[in-house]
Amino acid sequence: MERIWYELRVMRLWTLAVPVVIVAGMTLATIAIRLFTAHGDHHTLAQLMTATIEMLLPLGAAVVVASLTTSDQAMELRLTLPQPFALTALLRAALVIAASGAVAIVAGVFLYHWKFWRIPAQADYSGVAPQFLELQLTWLAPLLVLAALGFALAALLRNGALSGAVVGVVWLIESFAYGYFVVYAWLNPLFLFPTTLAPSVSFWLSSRLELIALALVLFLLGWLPLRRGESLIRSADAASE
Amino acid sequence: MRVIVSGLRKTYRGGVHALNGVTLDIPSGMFGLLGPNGAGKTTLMRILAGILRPSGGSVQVGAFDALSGKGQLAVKRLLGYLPQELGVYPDLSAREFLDYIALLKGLDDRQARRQRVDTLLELVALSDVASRKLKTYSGGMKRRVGIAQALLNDPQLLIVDEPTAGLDPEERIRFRNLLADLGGNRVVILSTHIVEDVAQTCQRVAIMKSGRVLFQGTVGQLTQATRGHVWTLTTPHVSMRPQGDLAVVSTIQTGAGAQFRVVGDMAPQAGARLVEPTLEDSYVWFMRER
Repeated sequence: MERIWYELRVMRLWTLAVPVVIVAGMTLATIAIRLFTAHGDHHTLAQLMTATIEMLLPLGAAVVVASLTTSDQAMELRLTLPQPFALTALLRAALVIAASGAVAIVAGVFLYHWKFWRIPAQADYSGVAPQFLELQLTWLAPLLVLAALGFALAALLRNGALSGAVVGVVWLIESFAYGYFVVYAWLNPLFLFPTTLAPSVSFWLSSRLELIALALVLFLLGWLPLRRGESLIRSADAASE
Repeated sequence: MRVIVSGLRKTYRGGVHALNGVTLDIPSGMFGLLGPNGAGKTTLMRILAGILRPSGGSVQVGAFDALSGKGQLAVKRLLGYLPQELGVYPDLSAREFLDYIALLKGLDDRQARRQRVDTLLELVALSDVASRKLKTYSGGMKRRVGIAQALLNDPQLLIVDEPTAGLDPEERIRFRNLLADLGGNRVVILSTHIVEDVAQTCQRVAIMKSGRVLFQGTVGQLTQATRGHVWTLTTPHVSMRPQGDLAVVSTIQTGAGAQFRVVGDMAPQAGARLVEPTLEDSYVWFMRER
């Protein structure tokens, strides 16, 4: 626990506030739309709130993970310690994911209770507990994949800002060109946001599981370059110049 | 404990040769590594610390091959390292920083760890300000935190890279005294371009330039090698500098003229007086010669 506390301090505690800010901001925006515009029907509001946990929370987590993965104020010292830095980077990514996950679960309880969670066709059955559990895949799969993508890109490119930007581009493509991910079978497993954008798809569950597997591969892809101290020290030197 | 470096080479991407066949034998005690900026000192330190991989050669630290995976991990366990630019976590206090690094060094027992941290804070005279955030510390105080973290695991190999650069004279002397006390049974490698630091603390020394070792031996052997090449001479005016294949080490303006201290192969001119070399003279001699 001490180690985790220190990692949170080193990461700066505000990084954990990102998911809270996202959910609070989107909740206020949804309330404003409900009160002050003509688009405040239940369907639109449910779509907005589902997008909050399915699309925005994972994006925020991925950008934070990308910015943390290869940056450490004491990098040169860290690389001389017996514990590999790759393990520390992975632990920090896990903490960011855990924080976003915790916020998503709490927010999800309210969304589910007040029926603001869009239910995908494949999970549309009675039985509150199993349905609620299965719905957690809504945010879990994109959160893991985008965070893993941010982790792997940062490890490979050794540039947090650039990696965050690439994650942003992937997010935009998934959001605005989602039709391709629905129509082309080979793109189905890569569809990140079906609950918000196309809840009637027949591959909702399988694609969630495939995305989680992909996330594991991406984390492994990022782990390998992080074991090489030479590339990390070069980027640390470049950052300090 | 002994560090043996043989034929070490390091070529960076782009073909920059940082080390060209460096061979060193470093016994226990204080060992000074002198050289100008760009000599390859930091690259050598980073290889010894397991941060960089060499392009060729071997490094033996005690019983361990420091370039093998297993050996590297073993060396890291007995290593204390103070980098040239010690980055710190600004929002942690000195006590928290040391406690965190101690955890990462594998000091898992909380009680023992806290005790070790307090002892080291006492050693570097930071106990009174140990709860202050590191962002409020001066450069000298951060260096002292740096040496404290390097000592957390009571290392058998202590590497300090340019530890006194940028410190004021008082802090530099304090730091030198601290380092001198640490020699004993461990290997302490002090990499610096400040000759005075080595003169005041080290029994043995190596001089590096352009990725090569120009000299290694005791400080006495180094000055001995320069004997007969150091001169002082006085000229009637400061503008009348000594001519020939000489390097001026210092110039002191006197009322009537100037006194020069020079190193060179031959007596610079009539009136020149042969003097005993200092470490600085020897350093200038080696830099000039090769």
